[in-house]
Amino acid sequence: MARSKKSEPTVTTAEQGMNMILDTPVLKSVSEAADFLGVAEIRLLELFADALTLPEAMGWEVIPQEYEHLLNEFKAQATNVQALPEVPQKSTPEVQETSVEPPVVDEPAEAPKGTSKRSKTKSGALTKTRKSSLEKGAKSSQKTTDLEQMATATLAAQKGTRKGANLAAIELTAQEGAYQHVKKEGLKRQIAKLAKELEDEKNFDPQEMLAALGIPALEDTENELNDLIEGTLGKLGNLTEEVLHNSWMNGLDTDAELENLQELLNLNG
Amino acid sequence: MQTVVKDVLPQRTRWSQRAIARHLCSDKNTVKVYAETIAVVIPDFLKECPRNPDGSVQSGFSLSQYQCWVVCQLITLSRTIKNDLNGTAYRKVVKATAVKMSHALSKESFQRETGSQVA
Repeated sequence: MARSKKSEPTVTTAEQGMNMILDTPVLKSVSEAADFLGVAEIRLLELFADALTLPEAMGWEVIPQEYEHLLNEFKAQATNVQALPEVPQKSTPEVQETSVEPPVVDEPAEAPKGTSKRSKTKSGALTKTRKSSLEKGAKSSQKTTDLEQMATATLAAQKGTRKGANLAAIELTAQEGAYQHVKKEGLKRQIAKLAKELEDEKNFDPQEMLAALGIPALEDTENELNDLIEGTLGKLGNLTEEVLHNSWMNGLDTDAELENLQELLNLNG
Repeated sequence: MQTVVKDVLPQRTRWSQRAIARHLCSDKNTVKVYAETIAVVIPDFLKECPRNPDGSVQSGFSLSQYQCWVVCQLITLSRTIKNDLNGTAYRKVVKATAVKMSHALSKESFQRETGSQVA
């Protein structure tokens, strides 16, 4: 019997097993369910715990299949809860609208009619909220004005710094221009001075300076030297001619000629 | 040497998660996980948690003395079982234990154990 029981499921695994797997519903995780409801996970678990009076629900990680139907209920509740606050949400903008139109309040005074009582009662009820809303509005407007002032001050400061930067750039450029001009003028003057010096140098005559100092001119000394050298050279030339002539006439006596030359040199020295 | 910290710290009315981490010599992220995901399964703990509009617990909230006690208990428990579980997901076990033993970690138990009259 036990074998037959075991063999039956093995037979059905191929066909029914797949179907069983496919038919097995996938359990929703808490995070998925929370996303479905649009609430936090812990809030969803709280809802389950409260609805089922089951503290263990706080530890769930998946939603059991038998409790999945509660999700739709929670969803419906959530939509109802969301629908309820819409009324006050709508009413608050009305209050804001009325608060936004304080000058319009004068209109009923101009045209008072049967609805004036209601409007008076309404205005009495609305004054507190209006006050609070006005205060809030005043605070927010104060904040915005402060922010605007801050922004304008910052912009002005930035503009000022830019202007200052431009002015500084202009001043620097002007200073640089002036410096370059001064430099050019200085260079011109230096060049003129140098040119004058050169011109003076052109007129400089060392002969005059020597004459003024009582020193004979270089040309005179040169002429004197030339005369002296020429005289010596002329004697030398004559003597050499004699030596050559005698040697040719008397035959070559080099020793005697050398002595003669030596004598001549001694004479010149 | 005596540490003054242990004498002074319990007098705090509120505990930052960082202070608890320093007190337990653990990482502040550990305290964050225990305070914001594990300990919240205890109803009394969750009651004292500041909430966001969507119902979730505010991130990085400071803890009351009772909440601090719960977190310390849970972290101590996890330290005990961590070695025994040898690498398995011990935090899930701690969470399940907290759910089951929520009465032992209730505010009443805290007051009874510590003699505190904290509101």
